[in-house]
Amino acid sequence: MSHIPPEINDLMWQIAESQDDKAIEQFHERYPAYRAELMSRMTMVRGIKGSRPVEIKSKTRFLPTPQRLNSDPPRWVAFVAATFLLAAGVFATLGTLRFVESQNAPPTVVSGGLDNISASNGTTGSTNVQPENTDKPDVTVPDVGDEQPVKPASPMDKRVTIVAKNISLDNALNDIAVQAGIRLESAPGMPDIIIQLDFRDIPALEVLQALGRSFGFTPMIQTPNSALLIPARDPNSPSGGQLPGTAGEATANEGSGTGLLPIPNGVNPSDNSRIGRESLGGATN
Amino acid sequence: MLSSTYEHAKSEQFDEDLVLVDRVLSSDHHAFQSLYEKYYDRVYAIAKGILLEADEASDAVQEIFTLVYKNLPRFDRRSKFSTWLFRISVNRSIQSARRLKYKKHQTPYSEAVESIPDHERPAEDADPRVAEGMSRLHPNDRAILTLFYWDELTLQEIADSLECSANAAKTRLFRARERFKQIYESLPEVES
Repeated sequence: MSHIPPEINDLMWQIAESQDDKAIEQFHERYPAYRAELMSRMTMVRGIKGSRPVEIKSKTRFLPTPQRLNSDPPRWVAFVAATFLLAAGVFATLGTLRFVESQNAPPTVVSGGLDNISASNGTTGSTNVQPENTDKPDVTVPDVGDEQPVKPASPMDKRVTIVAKNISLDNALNDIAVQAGIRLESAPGMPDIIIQLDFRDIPALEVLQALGRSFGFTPMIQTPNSALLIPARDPNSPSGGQLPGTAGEATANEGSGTGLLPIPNGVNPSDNSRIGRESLGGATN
Repeated sequence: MLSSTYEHAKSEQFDEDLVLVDRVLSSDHHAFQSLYEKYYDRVYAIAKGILLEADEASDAVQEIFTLVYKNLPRFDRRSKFSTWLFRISVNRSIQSARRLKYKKHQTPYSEAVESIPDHERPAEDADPRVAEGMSRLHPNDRAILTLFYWDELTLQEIADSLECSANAAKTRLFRARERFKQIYESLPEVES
């Protein structure tokens, strides 16, 4: 195609489209070399024109009906539908999120109103984990929020009881972790000492904070059920005068009681849970 | 300014299509039937040339005239009614062709002919290479060839219908024709 001069190319198309016999004859005389090309184009153009649909199968009568005119919904309908779908999607997402949150949240527990706590039997050299609702409760502490639903917060707030003498700090922390169902990680440099302690029905976090104040470390909460124990005392932490229990470094004179921290006057030393409650500001009998 | 207004009014005065349009806008639905019958063949030719299939073309024609009827109040009369109608026809048919492209693969012409009912088959002397060549072209190329060869519009009318300049229409026609010729000549000639 490129070897045909443009003017001859245009001329051939014009002649092919006009199908003028006289023009065809003149072109053949003038450009005999392009005779075949012109014939080919004429055949092609005749073919195109000849393939035009001349007989229409069915020329149906066009009567614009309201249905036909309103076949496409107006734009505002699409807008409203889109808005509705968007709102439905948002509500569905929120509902799903709330459902997932409710599934993950700890169950709400309604307190029975009384906490029965067993007193320590004074076992030496081991911890006593006192199960709730023992057969012989020594102390009965009325619940402050009677008939109020109590929602246990994180495992850090789970109450633990640990009474021991001559126990390593590491073992005591392990016991607290097991009772509360939490994970405690000790940073390097934690004190490796033998201690004695007496905490009864005290939130695990408060026990950890009390131990931290006494033995020089700070519990840092990482997740709701894990904490990192850093061997440094937080200067902003509350002073040690409000310990819910007692803790102290054990002495060589086991069993003599000289290694215990001072117990407030006028309080039965065996009634440690009472001490804890009072120091927490809870109601007493 | 005055003379152009006069010329415009003068051309409107003798434009039968505009009279019919005015009657349609005056709620004379029979006037639209007149327009429909007058232009059905040409609109069908455009649709058939672009869409290739008779049924699709018939559907497209109904859509085109419905569209024209709905949008008739928006016809600004800057062009002839026929030009406006052909513009809508081309655009709508090309849109339908794009939809069809994704709807089904193009069937080879020989198979397509086998599936066409007898009364819709092309004439015996029709060159099958034309239909095959058209089917291999882009819908835009088919549109311009259809307007030029089937509806026999001038380059200016084609330019108005395609919303481009006359020179652009000429260039597009030249390229479409060359592409068609290339395909046409590559196809084996059928012995009659």
